[in-house]
Amino acid sequence: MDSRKRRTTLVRDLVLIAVLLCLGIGLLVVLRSHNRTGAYAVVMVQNREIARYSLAVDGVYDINGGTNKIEIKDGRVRMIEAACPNHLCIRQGWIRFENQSIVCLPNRLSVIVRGTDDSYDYVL
Amino acid sequence: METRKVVHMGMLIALAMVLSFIESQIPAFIAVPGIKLGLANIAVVFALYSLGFREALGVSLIRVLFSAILFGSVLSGLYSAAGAILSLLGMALLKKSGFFGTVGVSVSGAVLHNLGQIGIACFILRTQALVYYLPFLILSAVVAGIVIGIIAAVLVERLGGDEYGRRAEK
Amino acid sequence: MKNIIRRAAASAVLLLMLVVLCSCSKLTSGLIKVHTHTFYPYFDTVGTLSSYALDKEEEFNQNAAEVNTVLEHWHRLLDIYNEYEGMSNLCTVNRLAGQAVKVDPDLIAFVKYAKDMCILTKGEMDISLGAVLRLWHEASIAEKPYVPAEEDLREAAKHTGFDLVEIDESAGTLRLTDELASLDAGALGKGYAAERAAELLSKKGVTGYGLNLGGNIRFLGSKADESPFTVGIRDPLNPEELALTLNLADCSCVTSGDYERYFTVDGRRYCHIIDKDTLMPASYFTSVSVICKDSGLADALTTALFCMNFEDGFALISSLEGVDAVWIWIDSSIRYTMGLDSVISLV
Repeated sequence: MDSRKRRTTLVRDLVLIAVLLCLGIGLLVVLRSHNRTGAYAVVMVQNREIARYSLAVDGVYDINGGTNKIEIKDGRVRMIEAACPNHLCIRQGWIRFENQSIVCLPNRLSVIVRGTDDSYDYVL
Repeated sequence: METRKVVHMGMLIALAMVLSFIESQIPAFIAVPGIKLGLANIAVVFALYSLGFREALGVSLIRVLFSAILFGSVLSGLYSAAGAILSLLGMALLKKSGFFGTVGVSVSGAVLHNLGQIGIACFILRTQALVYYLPFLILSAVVAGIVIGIIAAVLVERLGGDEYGRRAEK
Repeated sequence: MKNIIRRAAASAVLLLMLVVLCSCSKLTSGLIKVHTHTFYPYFDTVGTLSSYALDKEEEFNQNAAEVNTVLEHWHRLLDIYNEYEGMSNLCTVNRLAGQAVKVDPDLIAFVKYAKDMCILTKGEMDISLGAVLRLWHEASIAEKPYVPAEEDLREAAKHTGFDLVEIDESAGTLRLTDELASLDAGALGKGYAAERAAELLSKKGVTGYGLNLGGNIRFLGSKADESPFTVGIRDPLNPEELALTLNLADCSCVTSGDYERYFTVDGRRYCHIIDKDTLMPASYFTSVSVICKDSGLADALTTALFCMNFEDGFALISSLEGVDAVWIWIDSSIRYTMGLDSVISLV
């Protein structure tokens, strides 16, 4: 290849690289913001979903006909009230990772985080 | 096929496999199934520029087959094959068009390789959610493609020359 | 050559279209479609069976039902607070302490295994500690939780020890030679049951499943895309954050922590794992995780390590093949065995 052709192709190569980099970064931004607003807390009783709350909106909610109460703040969720003997569910504190859950055994109730990019299969 | 070409291809296949193996020893830094730098593509790009499309295809597919047998599994072989075919076809077209230089062709090849892998994974796992990994794969492909393209270009200049181009011109 | 280029171009365009179509469809979060089934309340905890194997829902439900049967069977056999009609379990054996009780051969196998584990852990994991554990249990569920008196604990400790357990395999009976002794399988039950469930699934050729019984996790194989399962362990100082993550496949991971089950008296926390030497809740670490293939072994070791100082625990783990562990102190410092180098990431 003569040097003038080499220079043109080099310029085109650089443009291509720039375009792809922008594409990559752009997609990154789009997907990140989509995921954050997509995160939610799923309330399940006995394996069946009964309610779903977005983690993007702060709030306090009565769930399962009032046997339990959850609080959502800053993208995390915790159990603040529960009609059960040992309140182990309340002691679990805040959770925010995908697949993390708070369980109130006597009420057969779990609150599971879904839909965030912070994901682990199990959190112990 | 002349003996010289067969030997040439054999060497490149072996080179590709060694590079693939070295790459597999590097711990995966992102939990994306099958994400690879694609070091083996150095051999493929070099084959493309020094021997030709058909020979590069041979090197690529045989490398995928043997690597899958030795180091991987049917599934990883499938991912690899999809990526390798898409990547090579794209590279051959772009090279023929003369629009981009070796680096540009290599970068395109790397990006297409990853797109192919994600595409096939989406299809096999029946989920579109893997799309989430696209940005990371594109960015890493660009970086890998640049490195591979430069290395291959240097090798072609020093060793192979553009025999394909010369043959086509005749 | 031109023909080949033309054909190649056509196939490339088609492939590209396929890929782009795949990629442009609705963006959803979450990865491989996972089936989950929850079990309440075996072993006084929540169990979940999850499939990352991309199997059909009917197949999964079938597997979940079979696991349910296994877990229920062991839950009943090892229950020390309830008895069940038509069978004798640990509760029966405890109630009839002093007499030989005919039990299911499975229970005999369990007690034998527990004895082996007791010897392996030099007594740190001991199901015959029932008398002591009962005092702590009663203290924790009282209207106003209290700390059991030292004299009571010491008196109860006199009625512990595996020499008090008589196993008659030919007759199929268990007998506690001391009428005030009792068995408590809490430290081993979950792991043992999980392993039996895993055995059942394994025999059917199932892979890509994860069974979580209240912190006792058993993985079968790896996920359908060959990626490992990810497990996060919490940071004691910042319970919302993780201290480390593990990438695991085809093994068990059992964690014991002082933040799981505890009660508070006068502002001090008392956790549920009792050290046989002090007769008080162990306080060396905030959490201990054991990783190895057999879930029963992992469960036993977790309890044992939690009650041993680091040097002794490390020595024990090092002496066993295919077993690794992670220790986390209250100040968030972490130590782990070399075998985990390739799968652990500190956060």
